[in-house]
Amino acid sequence: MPIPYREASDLDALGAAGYFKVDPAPLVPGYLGALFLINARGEPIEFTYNRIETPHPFLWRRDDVEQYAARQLAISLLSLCPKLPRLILCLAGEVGDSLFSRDVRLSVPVCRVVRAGDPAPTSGAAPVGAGPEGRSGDMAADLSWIPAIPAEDSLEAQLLRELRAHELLLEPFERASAGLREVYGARAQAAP
Amino acid sequence: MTDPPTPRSLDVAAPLAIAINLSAGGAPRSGVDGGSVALGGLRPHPHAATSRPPRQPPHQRHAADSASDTRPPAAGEAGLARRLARVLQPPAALLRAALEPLAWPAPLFDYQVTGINALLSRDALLLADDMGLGKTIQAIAALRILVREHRAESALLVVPASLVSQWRRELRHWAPELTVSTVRGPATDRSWQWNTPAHVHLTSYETLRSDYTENPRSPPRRRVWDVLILDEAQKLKNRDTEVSRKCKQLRRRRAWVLTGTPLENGLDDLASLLEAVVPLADGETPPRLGAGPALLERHRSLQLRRRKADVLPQLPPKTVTRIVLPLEGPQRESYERAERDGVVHLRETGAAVRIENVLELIIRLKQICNFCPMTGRSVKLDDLRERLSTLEAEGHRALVFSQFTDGKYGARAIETELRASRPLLYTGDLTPAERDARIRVFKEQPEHKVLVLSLRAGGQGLNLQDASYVFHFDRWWNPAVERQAEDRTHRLGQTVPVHVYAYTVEGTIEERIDALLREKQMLFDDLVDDVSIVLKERLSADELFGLFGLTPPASARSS
Repeated sequence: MPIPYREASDLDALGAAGYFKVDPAPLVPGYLGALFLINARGEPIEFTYNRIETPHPFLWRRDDVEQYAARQLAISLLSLCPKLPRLILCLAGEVGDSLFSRDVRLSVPVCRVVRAGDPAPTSGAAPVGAGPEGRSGDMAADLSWIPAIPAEDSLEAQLLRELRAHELLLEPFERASAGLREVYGARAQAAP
Repeated sequence: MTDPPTPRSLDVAAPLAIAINLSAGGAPRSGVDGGSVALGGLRPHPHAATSRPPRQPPHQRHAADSASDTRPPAAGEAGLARRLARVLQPPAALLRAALEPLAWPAPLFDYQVTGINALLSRDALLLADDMGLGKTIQAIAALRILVREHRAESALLVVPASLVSQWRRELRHWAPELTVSTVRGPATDRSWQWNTPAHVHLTSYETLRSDYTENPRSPPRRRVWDVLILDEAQKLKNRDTEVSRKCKQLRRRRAWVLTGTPLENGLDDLASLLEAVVPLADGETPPRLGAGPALLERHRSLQLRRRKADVLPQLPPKTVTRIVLPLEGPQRESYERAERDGVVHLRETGAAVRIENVLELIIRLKQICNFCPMTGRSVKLDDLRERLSTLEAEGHRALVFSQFTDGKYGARAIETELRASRPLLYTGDLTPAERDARIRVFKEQPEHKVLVLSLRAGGQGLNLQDASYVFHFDRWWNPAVERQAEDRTHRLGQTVPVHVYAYTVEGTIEERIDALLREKQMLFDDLVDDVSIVLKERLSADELFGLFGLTPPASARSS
C-alpha cells in the first residue's frame, strides 16, 4: 500500500497568519474570542479560544466593556496559543486601534482589516490600499498596519499577498466565528 | 477589577477544560473553558474507533507529534477537536479552485470543476464525458474534497482489473493524503485488505463478484459506503450478470457511475446502468427500470456528458482513415478455400446447422484476413510495417490493436513480426504486475516504438498519450469499443494530432459485415467473438446466413 506523502511547498515557509475574532457570547453577557491560525493556503493550523463574561453590564459603559473584553481575550489567547503567527489580522469593526498600538504590544505586525461600514483607522495605524492584486471578494477590504507596513519583500508582506490571492482576508473570520459557535454554542445547548 | 489569570496551553492531548475563574461581582471574568486546538493533526479518521491507529500523512502527523503532551485525548475533547476540524476547513469553493490549499498537481479545467461540483452536489450522477476528458480526475478530486470536508469517510471504488494499478497511481497523484486499500490477490490477502482502515477501498469487478456473498457480513456488504464509484460502468449493461446484480446491491450514500459509453446497444443497457445510479440505504432494494419515457427522463436528470469538441477545442484532432487492402497470393487462396469449405460444411449440415456454426466461420475467416495460415504472410502486416518505418523515422510511436491474442493470427504474431520496432505486448493473459510494467516501460523508454494490445485488455482506461498513431489490425464490430481503444491516446495530455488507421480486406467477410452494419447502423455486442448469444439478437438469421449467400433453415430462424 502506498505511503501518502506531500512535498512541502514554498508557501509553508511563509508561516501562519492569526485571525483574532471577538464575538458576543450567546445566552450570557460576555464575549467569545478566538485566535485562528491558518497557513498561506488557508488550511487551519491552530484554534485558540476563550470567553469572558461581563455580568452586570449596567455597571459599564459599552465602549469600555468591549475594549476591556477584547484586551483580556487578546492577552489570554496570545498567552495560550502555542504557535507564533507571522502576522495577526483583526477586524477594525471589532478591535479598536488602541488595542494593539497601546494596550498590547506585539512582536509581530498586526493588520486591521476595514470592511465596508467599519470605522476607519485612526492615528497610530498605517493605512494600506487594497492593492492591484486584490480579488473581488476582498476588494471591499482596506488595511491598516500596526506598527507599520511590512517591507515589500518581507515574509509578512508575502504572506498577506498569498492570503489576498486566495481571498482569505475576510473569510477566515467567519470560520473563527463558526469555531466559537461550535465550542460554546454546543456547550450552551448541552448545559442543563 | 481583577485581571484574569493566564490560561494554560491546551492541545488535543491535554484536558479540555481550563478553569479561569475570576472573582465574582461586577468585573468581567474570563471563561472557564478556554483552550487551544492544534488542527493540523486533528483530521478525523474514518476508522478512528478501530483498534488500529489511523494513518496520517506526514504533514498532518507532524502537527500532532509536535504537541508537548503525549497523553491520549479524552473522548470529549477529541470529539470537539473533530468538530472544530470540520467547521474550520477552508470553504468548498476554495478547495475546488485550481489554487491551493489542495495543491492539485495540475490545473483543473473549467469543465472538470463543473463536473466536480456536480459530483459533490448530488447523491447520484452518471458521469458520461467523452473518453479522455478526465472522468478519473474528476471523481478523485470530488472524493478528496468530500473527505476533506468530512462529508465522506469511506469509498468503494470498483474498476476493471486492468485499471486497478492505474487508479492507484491516479489516487496517489491527485489525492495523496487519501489512504487506499487495494483489494486483490488471494482470499487470505483480500480478507485483511477489506479490513484495512482506509478512505478508499479499490477493487475490481471480478473481486467484488467473488467477495460479495450471501453472507451479510461479507466485507463489501457489511457497511454502507459513503461513496460508491463504478468505473467503466458499461460492464453493468447486462442486468442479468452476477457482477451487475451485486454492484447494484451495494449500500451507498452516493453513487457515481463513470462511463464514456452509456449506450452501447440499446435501452435495456441504459436501464441496467441507471439502476446503479442511485443511493441505496440499508434495507432498500435496487430499483428495476424499464424502457420508456420515464427511463429517458431519468437518464437526462442523472447524466452529465461533455464532448471533447465542446470542452476541449484545443485538443488536437483525430483523423480516422479506413485502409482497404486487396488479398493476394496464398493468403487469398487460403481465404477462398476456407470460405468455400465452410459454406460447403454449412450446407452439408443441413437442417441441423446453427447460427453458432456461421459465427465460427466468420471468426475463422477474420483470422485468415490477418495472417495466411499456410505461409504466415499478411497483407495487413506488410502495409503496417511500411507505415511504421516511415513513422518511426519521424519520431512517432504507435499502438496496434487486435481482437485476437494468439501467436498465429493475433497480437503475439504481430509483436513477433514487428520485432524491428522493439514492440511491447499488452494482453489479458499478463498478470496485473506485468501489465503495469509493460505500460511503464512503454512510457519511459521511447526506443519501444510500438505497443501491441489486445483490444479487450488494452481498450479501456489506459492513458497512452505517448503514441499518436493507432492501428486497428482487425475490425471490432462495435464502433464504441473501437473509439474507446483510440481514445487511449486521443485524450487529455495529447499534444499532437492523432491518426487512426483501420484495416479492412476487400472482398472478404470483413468488408461484407462492415457494409451490413453501416447499412443497418447497428452495434454489435462487444462479445461477438465469444459467439455470444447477443450476436444473434443483433443480426437476424437471414442476415448472418446471407453473408455467405445461404438461406437459414427453419431451426436456425427459430433458435
